[in-house]
Amino acid sequence: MSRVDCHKLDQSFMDYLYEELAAGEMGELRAHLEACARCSDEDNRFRSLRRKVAHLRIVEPPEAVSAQLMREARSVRSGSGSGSPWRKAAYYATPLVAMAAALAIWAHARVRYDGWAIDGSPSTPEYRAPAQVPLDDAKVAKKAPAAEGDEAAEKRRTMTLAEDTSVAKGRRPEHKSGVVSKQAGGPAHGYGESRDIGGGVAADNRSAAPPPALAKPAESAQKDAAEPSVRSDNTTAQLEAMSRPGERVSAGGEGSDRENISTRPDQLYQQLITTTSSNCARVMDLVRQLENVSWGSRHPEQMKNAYQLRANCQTDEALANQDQENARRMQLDADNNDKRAKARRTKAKSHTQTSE
Amino acid sequence: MSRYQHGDVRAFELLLARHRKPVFNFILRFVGNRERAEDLLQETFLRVIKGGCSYQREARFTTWLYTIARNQCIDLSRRMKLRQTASLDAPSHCADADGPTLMESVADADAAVDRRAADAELQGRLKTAIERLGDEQREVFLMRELLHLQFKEIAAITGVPENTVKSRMRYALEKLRDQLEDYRELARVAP
Repeated sequence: MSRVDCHKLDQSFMDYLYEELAAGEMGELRAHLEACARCSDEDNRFRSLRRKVAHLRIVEPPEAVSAQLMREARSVRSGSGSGSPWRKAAYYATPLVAMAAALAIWAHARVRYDGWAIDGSPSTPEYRAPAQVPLDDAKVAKKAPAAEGDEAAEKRRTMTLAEDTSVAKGRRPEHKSGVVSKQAGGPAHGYGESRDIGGGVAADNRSAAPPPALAKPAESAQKDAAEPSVRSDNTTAQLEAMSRPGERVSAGGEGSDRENISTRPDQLYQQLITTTSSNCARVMDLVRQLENVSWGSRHPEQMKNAYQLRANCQTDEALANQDQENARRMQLDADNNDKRAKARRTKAKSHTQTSE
Repeated sequence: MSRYQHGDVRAFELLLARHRKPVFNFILRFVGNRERAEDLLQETFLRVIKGGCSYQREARFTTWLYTIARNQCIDLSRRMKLRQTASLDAPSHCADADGPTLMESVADADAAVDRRAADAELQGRLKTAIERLGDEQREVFLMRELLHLQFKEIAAITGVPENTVKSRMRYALEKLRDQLEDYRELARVAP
């Protein structure tokens, strides 16, 4: 006679269903199932579901991702960090080039347009604002920081700035390292708890400190993450000029051959909320740009979301708290705006009724 | 993994070949979007590359790897929830019940398989049902059914007691069973 009752089976049912019990226990439960119609029916229903689930199609991952990862693995193991000598040279040269370009454009704009009054009219053909160029071309420009002719240098500056201000939809693996920075150096996410995900997973997920070896890539990743930040700062002035709300700035080629640059604050916001998950370097960069163009005061609801996104990315707790505080402040502003709008509507309505 | 830690890049290639498909499918089913799944797959293995030196042999490599992948998914899930509450003028990129199913979106790569109508319907139903699970139940379900991890391994990855894992698994199965019950009826009716 089976020693197992329905309650006992119910308690061990998942183990039984997935055959994680010892042979003896499995046998006992099986004997009970043969004798109990209710439990047997329950068992059959779950097994039927598992047969359906077994049909889940296994999708092949893209080869391109594997190829990219192999390149990265080779570069890391060969001790070249996260890239070739060219990339390293570009890493150091880019902020300088961007700074020089921003300064030049700022000075140029001051002189020609008298205090940022860019009207974009065809009467200013001399103005050579940065044009959008393909990402690959821009990277080529970054790879040649050495001295060249003035014309080439001007072209390079222009291209570098264009890369900064263009929509960064394409993958930029060197910036993805910023993700590693955040997650390797700081706690990873659990449901409502911080968890370390170092090698010693089985020991204690919650109390284990970040392994020292993880801290090293984190440092290099922070370096990588710093790159767009520096460049972002340098292009702030340009953004300030080009990103006034509701104003589409003309730029690009000479004469009437102009094109728009997608750096309006609302577009920056769109980029922010569609940025790849965990791409913290990008998130930080975009939020900083939004802060710098003073757009949030008129769009507190959106700015609140921006601060919350950045708070998730902060590795420094104080900075994260500050962002949370900013988000709360923005929420208050948004609420106040709503109240004011509501009051205005009420007043207008009462005024209309009075006049009637 | 220890070979890769000692500089053998070929060992990483083997690891990648062995694990990329299950990890990718886990992420894909978790986030429900192929593009994001590709990004997360890349980020997961980038973490393996960058954090390779920190890997300790007492932990199973798969446990370590799936912990990384799982945390990436949760991070994205949180972001998506935040975005769902974002302003009304923000575009919605979330899973849309009326939009194309995941199977439809990946069908381009392997259209011949999707032509099997019954299978396609089941795939669509499964996809929808899995998406409707809560994150906690979905991750446990996917780890058990897709990755074939034991409950104790899932407990180690998720950081919750094994009994909690089992109870989440049971809830997940019951929800899926409820949603797919009528599919069984259809199957019975079909000749």
